[in-house]
Amino acid sequence: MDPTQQDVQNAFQQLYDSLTSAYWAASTIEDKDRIRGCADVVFQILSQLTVDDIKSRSADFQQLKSSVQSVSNKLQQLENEIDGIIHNIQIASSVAGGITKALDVAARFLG
Amino acid sequence: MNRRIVPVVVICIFGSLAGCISPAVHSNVPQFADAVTLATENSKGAFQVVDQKYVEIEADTLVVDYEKTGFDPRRIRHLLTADELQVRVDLLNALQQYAKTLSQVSSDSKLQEFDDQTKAFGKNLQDLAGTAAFKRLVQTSKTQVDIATAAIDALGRWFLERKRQKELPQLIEAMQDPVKRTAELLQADIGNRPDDQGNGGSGLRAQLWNEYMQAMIQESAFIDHNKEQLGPLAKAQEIRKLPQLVDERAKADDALRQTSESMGKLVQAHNELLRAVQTKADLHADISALISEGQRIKTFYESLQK
Repeated sequence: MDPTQQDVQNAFQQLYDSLTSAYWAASTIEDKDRIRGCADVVFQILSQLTVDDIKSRSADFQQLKSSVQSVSNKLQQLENEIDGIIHNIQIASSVAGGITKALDVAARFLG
Repeated sequence: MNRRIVPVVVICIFGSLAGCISPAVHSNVPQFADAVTLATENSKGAFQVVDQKYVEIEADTLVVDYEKTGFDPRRIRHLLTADELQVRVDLLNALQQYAKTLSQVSSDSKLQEFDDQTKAFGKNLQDLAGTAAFKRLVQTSKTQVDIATAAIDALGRWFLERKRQKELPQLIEAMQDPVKRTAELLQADIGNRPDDQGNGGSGLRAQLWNEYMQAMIQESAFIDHNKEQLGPLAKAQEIRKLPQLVDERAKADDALRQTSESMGKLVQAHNELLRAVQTKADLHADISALISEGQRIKTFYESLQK
């Protein structure tokens, strides 16, 4: 059976953990530096596995964005309709206010 | 029927029909929107923290190995490309926009705004009816104007509520799957830290766990390479950083774990929101707890990014 992404991740993680344990146990700077060099390489491999794993889901994120935006747009439309009703009352109010003012001015002008 | 009675009947009928959506929805949707904002901002923070630590480690390595390797600008890289991050940020922003609009549509403020506008309309109508010119045309009493204004308010409120009652459940239901899927994808991105045997590690948590180990190793190497040159105080200061890194690693991993869990709780809260809109039931999801937890995680991410 082919190894899964998780199997590969586990194998490199175990190698990395062994190297870091060896690093803390090593007593000379030379030994530590050699082990550190190997651990750095394995860390970069593990990082690349993480990047590949995250990249594998990017298309799904892109696709979901469209679904979310579609619902969001419909919701925005509903909000606009509600605002429209409120706006209509606002216009009616302004019209009534405008007529009152016009009548008042006209009454004063015509005496 | 008496002309005065008609508007009163209208008010009574529509007044009793108003309030179609559960009050729990009005009060909880803005909280839900806040929880979505925090959870999505924290998800962005999770990616930023892991990426920032990755870049820091490259700098730490450079400090230790500069004498041997020198500087190569190509070694300074980010973990994820801008495109990989952007596609996630775009989805999280779209989710925030959904929650924000949902909050605006379902909040009581729309009804309050409508009431205020109707009151202003009634006042202007009252003024108009009071003018001599208008009185010559129509005989209208203050009571009649008040009744007419109240009828318009009741009718308008009923219409707004009916619109929300009809369309909100459908829209929230349409978001159920995208919200669930988004949480699953983000949880997969965040992943798990490896156990003591090195198994089960994945995603950002495994990455951050190893990044901190790298940071400890580089710090230890820096001390080893410079211990002759460091004075006792400077040496003590550098050595103290090692246990601090162990502690910070545990806290950072915990923040990632909680970010992942909060996405799960958000799905649950969205489920309950739909149920409340459909059945007028109360919301049982503890959204306040979700918000305070999210706030705490956000503060922690911000402290790491300083």
